[in-house]
Amino acid sequence: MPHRTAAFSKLISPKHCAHFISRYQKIVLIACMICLLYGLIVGLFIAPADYQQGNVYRIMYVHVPLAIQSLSVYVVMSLCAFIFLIWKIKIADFVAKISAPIGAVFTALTLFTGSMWGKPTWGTYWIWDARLTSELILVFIYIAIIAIRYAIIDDRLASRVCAVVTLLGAINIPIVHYSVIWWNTLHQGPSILKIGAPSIAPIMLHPLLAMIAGFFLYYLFLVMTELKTELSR
Amino acid sequence: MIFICVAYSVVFAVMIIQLIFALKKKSRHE
Repeated sequence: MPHRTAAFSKLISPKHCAHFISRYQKIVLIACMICLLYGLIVGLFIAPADYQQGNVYRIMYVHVPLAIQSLSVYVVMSLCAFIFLIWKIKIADFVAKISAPIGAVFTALTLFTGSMWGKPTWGTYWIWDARLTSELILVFIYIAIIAIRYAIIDDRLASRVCAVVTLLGAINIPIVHYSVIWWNTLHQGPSILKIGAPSIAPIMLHPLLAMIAGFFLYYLFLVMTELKTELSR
Repeated sequence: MIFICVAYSVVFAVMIIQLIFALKKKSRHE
């Protein structure tokens, strides 16, 4: 146990964290590019057209990974906020600070790609559906967190207030995820993140999983790059 | 087809801009 604690405190020390990032950053970038290339090639050129939607369903290969990332970035931020509030670990605050604009962009892109998919399939770019509305609220939460960070001049106070607001905003995450189950929505129900096997053909599922991994690695690479900058200050 | 092109080009353009900003910030500090 003391050995584990020592290893943990070594990892969260700025010097070792920067060293860890330098060591793995390139590997993460290469893995990200491989996943995205595989996903794009198979998703756009090899996977067959959908029998109902035709080719337009291929927007799924950017829309679904972005939607998953918009939620998982917020989960990471909430965990970091919790760790920062309880143990006052500065790196956790840095990760939360870096993640907020990335998450906001992912969420805005989720809504954009969703509307690009909605127009040819539903006949409208936007509808006040539970899933779409809760995702829009998520963008506003991200923007509020970024605004609070820059509005408060005292850095320590800004970090604490942002952590509390992040934890309060986390209530929206299960609402976004379960909105399609709790309410009768135009947006389809879950096809991958659900109990039982995914209801999607394997040839369409593989590139989607590769894209999800690619977008996660892209987020990881961005966090590593910006964290290294923050640590060198 | 137009919707796929618009969606993919906007997403990847934003991602590349985001990446350039992060790398620029890093190089400015080094």
